[in-house]
Amino acid sequence: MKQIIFHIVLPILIGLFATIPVCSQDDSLTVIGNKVSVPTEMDFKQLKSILRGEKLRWNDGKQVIIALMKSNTPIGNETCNRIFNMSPNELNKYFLALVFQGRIKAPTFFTSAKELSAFVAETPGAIGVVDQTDVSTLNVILVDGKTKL
Amino acid sequence: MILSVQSKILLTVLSVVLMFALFILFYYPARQESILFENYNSEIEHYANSVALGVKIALTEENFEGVEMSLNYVRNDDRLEFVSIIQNDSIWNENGTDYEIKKQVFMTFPDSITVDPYLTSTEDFIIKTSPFSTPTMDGEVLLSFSTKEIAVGRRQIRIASAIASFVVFLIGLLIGYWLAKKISVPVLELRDAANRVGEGDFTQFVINSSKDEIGELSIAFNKMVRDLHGAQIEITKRTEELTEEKKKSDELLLNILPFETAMELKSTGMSKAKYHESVTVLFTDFKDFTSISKTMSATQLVSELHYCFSKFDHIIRKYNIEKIKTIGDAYMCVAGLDTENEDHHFDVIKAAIEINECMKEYRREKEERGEIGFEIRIGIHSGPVVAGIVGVDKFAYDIWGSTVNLAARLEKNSEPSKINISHSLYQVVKTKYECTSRGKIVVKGLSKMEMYFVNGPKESVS
Repeated sequence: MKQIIFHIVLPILIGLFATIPVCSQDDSLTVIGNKVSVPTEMDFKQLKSILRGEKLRWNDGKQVIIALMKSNTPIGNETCNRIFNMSPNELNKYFLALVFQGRIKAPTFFTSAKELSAFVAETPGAIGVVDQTDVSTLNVILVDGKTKL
Repeated sequence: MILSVQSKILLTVLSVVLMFALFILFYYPARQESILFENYNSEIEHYANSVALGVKIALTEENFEGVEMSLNYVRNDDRLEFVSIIQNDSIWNENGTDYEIKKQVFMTFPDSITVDPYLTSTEDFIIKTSPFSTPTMDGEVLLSFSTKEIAVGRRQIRIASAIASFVVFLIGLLIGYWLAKKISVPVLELRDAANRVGEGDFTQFVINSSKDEIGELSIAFNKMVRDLHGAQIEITKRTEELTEEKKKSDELLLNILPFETAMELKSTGMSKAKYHESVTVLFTDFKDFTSISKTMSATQLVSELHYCFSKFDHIIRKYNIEKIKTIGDAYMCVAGLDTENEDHHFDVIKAAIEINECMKEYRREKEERGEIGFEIRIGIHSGPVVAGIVGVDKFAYDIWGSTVNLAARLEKNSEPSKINISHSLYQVVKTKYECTSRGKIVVKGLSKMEMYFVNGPKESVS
């Protein structure tokens, strides 16, 4: 009986747990921005361009400040995949190359969404990606008219 | 080549200064350049390490602040040629047993430059690498800095060294010149003064107020000159005294000896008797000397003789006649001992005439005073004699020979106030002197002898 449980039930249970997303229960991403300079609405293409460092300044001339979750966090990993279409390593190399050449101000990576939200709320021109936020002092940016990606 | 003291001092100082100047000119800049190069290398290495650390943190911690900050420093440095991240990839062989590292440039700033990942330092730039290792990527930061700043620094160091070296040399030169002059001038003054002192100028004094050895030397020199001057004055005084004494001695010697004999005696300490072929010997004597001398005291007698013989001395000196001696009232002299005097016959006749006249005057003056005066008899003969000094104590010059004896006989056979000469002498002087033949007269100890009175010089001659 014990052998049956060990050889049949346990693999089934492991298989079930393995199919559960690591990031969170809700794998949607929310783009947040500081209330100063950062537009409250944009399309995904614009978002992608901004986060890849291709747009350095907002329309009012304020510098774009990128805030991301570290790639070893579920949100960070999700951000890599869904927004940058890169692995975490590729993303790091990508930003390293840009920073190395002085083309952008390096993104700031955080280990918690709370810290990231606080940073965006306090930093004019800052834009970041989190899973969700309840901070009222920042804007949730509508991407393609949606608050969730 | 003989160098002066001044040159030697100057050369010594210049040698030291030159060594110091060369040290400043070559060793010092070389050392400074080495330090500059080391510092430069160290600085670039530090940059490379900072960037590599930043890269490592960025790739592992996703914190780009460090690399951004270090790169800002590097990028803003004017000396930067380029900075690259070199990615090292391990390429395994087909069997998976061995691998090789393949370097490829991941990123370069500025991106316009194509970088060889195997580049090494040259004279124009310095390459520094700093490795990093992350799970994402292994590699190294390759940093290239221009060496222009080093070249500029080197040039500045060399210029500064050259200027410093020149200034040091110039200062050394001035100090050396001053020192050489300070030492050599008083030394040269001492030398010149010593030369002048050597030439007999004892008024030389060196003025040197310095308190060093040269000053002491000057004081010693001045004292030496003073002492020498005193000694020289003393020597001069003594020399003058000696000269005076010698003069007196010589005069005394010449007074008792003929000149040639005196010179011989002085130079050799002795004088040999010499044979003279022809001399003229004169003898005088006073008639009735013995009876007259009894009428006067010894002192008065000596005084009379002294008076008369002094007159004779003065007369014969004029005619270069040598007084031989006086014997009592007799006076003996000779001419012709000096071989150069060939007129000794005439000289003696002249002297005899003058002596005779002198005695006539003396006698007349005596008679005017009512006193008795001496009457002189004179005898002269010419012929050979031997002259010289005999004995060692109280020596006296004398002449010997038959001529002397004959002259004495002629005087004995003369008459008062007459000059009696021999026939041989007559034959010589008869051309110039008027003589009266007396015929042949018997001479004591000899056969008859023809004699003549000299009356005086012939009118044509006088």
